[in-house]
Amino acid sequence: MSHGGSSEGNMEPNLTPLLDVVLQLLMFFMMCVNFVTNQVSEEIVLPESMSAVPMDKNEVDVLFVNVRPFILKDYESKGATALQKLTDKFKEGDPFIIILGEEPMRFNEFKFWLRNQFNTLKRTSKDGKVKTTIVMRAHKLTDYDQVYRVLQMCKVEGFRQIKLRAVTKSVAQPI
Amino acid sequence: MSKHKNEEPSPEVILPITPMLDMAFQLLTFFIFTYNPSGMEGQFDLSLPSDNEAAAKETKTPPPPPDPDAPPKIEADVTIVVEAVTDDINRGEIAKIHIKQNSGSVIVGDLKELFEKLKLANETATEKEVVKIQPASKLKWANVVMVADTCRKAGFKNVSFVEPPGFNISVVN
Repeated sequence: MSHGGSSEGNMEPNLTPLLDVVLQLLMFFMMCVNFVTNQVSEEIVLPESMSAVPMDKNEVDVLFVNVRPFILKDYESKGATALQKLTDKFKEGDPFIIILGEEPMRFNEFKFWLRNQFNTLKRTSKDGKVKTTIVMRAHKLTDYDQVYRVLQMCKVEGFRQIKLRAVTKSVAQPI
Repeated sequence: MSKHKNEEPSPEVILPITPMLDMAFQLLTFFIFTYNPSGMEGQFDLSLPSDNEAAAKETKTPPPPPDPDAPPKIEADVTIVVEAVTDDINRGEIAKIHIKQNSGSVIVGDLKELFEKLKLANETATEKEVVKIQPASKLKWANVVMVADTCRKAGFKNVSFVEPPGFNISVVN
């Protein structure tokens, strides 16, 4: 009795469509991957704003300043030594200025850091003018007076262009 | 002698699909797990009152000659003063919003009402695009941004932030 002819031995699945789909998915995720810029701190939760416009990709001469209040529970996972170091320096609710590659700063330290940055930029600038933009990323729970103080410090030290970051909200916020 | 006797079948090319598929799946898994569809970051420009304006307020002496690099002095018909809740539970939330104009001051309770009043204010204002916001010191930044958004939605394109009441300017110098 026949059992279906000569193709009985060839039971390999056709992998081509599967591979196509997998590679397409792979490509999608690779394109959408959100590479975290080395200047941006993940500790900052930005407020949402529908009037925030997408960033200008040509703007490269920027200094990122991250501001947030020190909230102990957000740093509990950091390990005992690091946490001790932070709690020695900051109290709950204290302004906490994060510049990537630097230790978290208080206002007075930030002021000196900013002054040094400005002087270095002025020295290295061809026409002696500083055209660097300060991009400020303020955590949504930061008090306004702390944000304003940082902005004023930037201005006093000589930075003229300041931009504020927010999460772009495409859908109109219900008012 | 047959012509086809010496012809051997061409060697079959076998493409090793399995390792490629393995790698593709591993990469796919990696990207799926690390995929973070968070909102896009955007930014907005900022206007702060010039030093000259602040200095003139404090010293009451004639202001120094204008600095060409300094931001322009902010002239606005409408100023919004936002008060913050001070109790422990809702600290930093919006308590009251005052809309100050030459014609007088109006108090609103929420952003919806602010939007309605601002739309009317925008129709009568001379400086139709400029509005000043003076948030309370302890108002949360997210609320400040919400107020600024409402102003822009009501037609004021140029939103400026001024110093909070009681702010000591000498702390930044």
